[in-house]
Amino acid sequence: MAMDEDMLSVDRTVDRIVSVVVGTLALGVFLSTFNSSWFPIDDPDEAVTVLVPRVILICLIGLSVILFVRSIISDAKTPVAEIVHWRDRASWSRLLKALGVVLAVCLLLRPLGFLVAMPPAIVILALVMGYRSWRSLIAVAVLAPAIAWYLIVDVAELSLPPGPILQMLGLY
Amino acid sequence: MASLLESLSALLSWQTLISLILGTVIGTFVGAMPGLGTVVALAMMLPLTFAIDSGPAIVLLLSVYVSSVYGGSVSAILINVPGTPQSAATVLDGYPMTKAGRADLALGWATGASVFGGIFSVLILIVAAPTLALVAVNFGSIEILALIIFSMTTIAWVSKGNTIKGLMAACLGLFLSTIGQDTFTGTSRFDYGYFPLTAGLHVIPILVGVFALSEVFHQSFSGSGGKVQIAGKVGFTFPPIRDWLNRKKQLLRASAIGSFIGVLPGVGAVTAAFVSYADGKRSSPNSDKFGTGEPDGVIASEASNNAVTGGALVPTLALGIPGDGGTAVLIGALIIHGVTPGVRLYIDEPVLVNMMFMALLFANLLILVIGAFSAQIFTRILKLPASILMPIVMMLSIIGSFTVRGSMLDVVVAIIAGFVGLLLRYTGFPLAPIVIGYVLGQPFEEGLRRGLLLTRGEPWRFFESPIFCLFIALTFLVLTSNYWTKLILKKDKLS
Repeated sequence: MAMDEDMLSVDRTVDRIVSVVVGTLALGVFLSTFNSSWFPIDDPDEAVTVLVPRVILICLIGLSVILFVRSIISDAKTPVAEIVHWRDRASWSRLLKALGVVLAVCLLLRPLGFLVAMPPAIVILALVMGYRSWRSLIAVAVLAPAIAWYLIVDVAELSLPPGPILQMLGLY
Repeated sequence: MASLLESLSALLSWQTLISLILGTVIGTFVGAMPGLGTVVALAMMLPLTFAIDSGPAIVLLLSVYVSSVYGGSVSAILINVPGTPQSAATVLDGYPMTKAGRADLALGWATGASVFGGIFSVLILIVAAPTLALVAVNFGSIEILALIIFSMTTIAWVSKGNTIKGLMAACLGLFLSTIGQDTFTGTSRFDYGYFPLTAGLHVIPILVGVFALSEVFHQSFSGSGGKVQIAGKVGFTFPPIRDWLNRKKQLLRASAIGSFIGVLPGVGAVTAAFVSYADGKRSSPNSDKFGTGEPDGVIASEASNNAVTGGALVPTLALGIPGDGGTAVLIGALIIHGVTPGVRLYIDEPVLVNMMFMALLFANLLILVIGAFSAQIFTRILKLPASILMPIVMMLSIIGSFTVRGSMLDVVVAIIAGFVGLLLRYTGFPLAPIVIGYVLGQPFEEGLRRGLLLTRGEPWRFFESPIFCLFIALTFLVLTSNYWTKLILKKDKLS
């Protein structure tokens, strides 16, 4: 975290894109509240159920318009917490791989179980992020999920997906 | 008196004491990890509290909240990187002390100042929160609606110069809270035929995603996984009492600034630390040495940022209005554990409230013990690179999201929230208003709809309430403050 993060800024193109994306999405959701197949409101008294979401969405659309107009008329830069090197391919590659790992865990958590799905995910994510000390990495990848499993499932008595192996062994 | 004794005995039960110690230790260490911070610490600990009673669970989270702010100062002093944004001002004098071989003394000053600031603000909380609750007991739906609008506007206004984006983030949070069943009519909203969405989105996956997973993605993108170097040998030396007495004015000023700023919604510890640092630089007899390793600089930053914790809890507990991301998580945690913050809390749960106050005092005292005995452990932990910490954060985030309701939908929501959170922070959106908006979503909707019922669908009659008018006027002032400031500056220049 840089000390002078309040001073970081990028030009208004980002604001323009964001305002269009957010505004369009909000408009789409707003219009969907008038669709009777999604909001089958027959009783007029129940029409108030979409009142607050509509008010919020109108505010969001209005704010998007203000942001868009400001991005056009103002030449001041927009402050951001982090400067992003949008064109750095290595950064994008790392991010996509990290996202892929997290999505893979999400997909495999139930079919494989927490204790089988998590260690490889930890190893791959650490490697993606540049960690190269294999011995400590494998120790962390095995011990961290095992300790988490013990604390969550055995001590706190909450549930985590056990997976077919533990179920076949009759442990869970 | 009986309630105080009952609270003390509840606090001294083994389960609560363990929660207190564990929470303080975990909070301090997570706070020290750059990039994690208070909200991530709370978001990751919250699911672990589901299995324990509400008292110990709340004590655990409160001690994490308080100690994580202190933890941030350790990495600020030792490696020139604030563990939490709140400790950014500590770097200015803390790290020069480390470079000069006085890291032990810098940690001593930071720890002592943090403990003093924390305890000072808890005493303010004990006095101010019940008083504020007594005033707020007269608030009806319309007044609460106005208070929520004012709070969210203030939070958005102080969002690093991005008021519009802050307001958009708050609106996004408000909108997310409307997904699922309408609590008034039972009608399902925004599920688009997908049945699991009828139950709505839970606050934890949103929190975990927006704060913890977005940090994992950010660290992946920025590739900051290198090893950390710590200058010199590290220990802990508590400065002599005489030296503390010589600097008592700085200590009191910083604590008062922190407590006051903490009460204001959204302003937060970062602002408090820099305001207090600037004040210290102006008022300290050693002002010329600021920035070169002056203990007054460390005191100004640390006493004020820790004093914010007690101050921020005043509106949180008395009105149910969170001032920042950390207190938003605390409100979510209290609700999950069956405790509704707000004016009724002091009437319905006096034992719990007193126990919370005592826990805050004890947690602040424990910081002193942990700070004194864990300097060596800190040096080892801080050497852990982000590339090994982030996979563990990812694992805890997935556990946290899944264990809420045992649903994979919550994990998916957390991942989406993480990616959206990353995009939002890269495009200059503040993240805290999303969570605050989400937490305040239900009271906002209740306030608006009950208000409309009371006024028979005539919203202009809201202005018949003087409190509503006052808060709306304040909101207008906040929103147009930039314009007024510019106008006043222009007049000053002309004259």
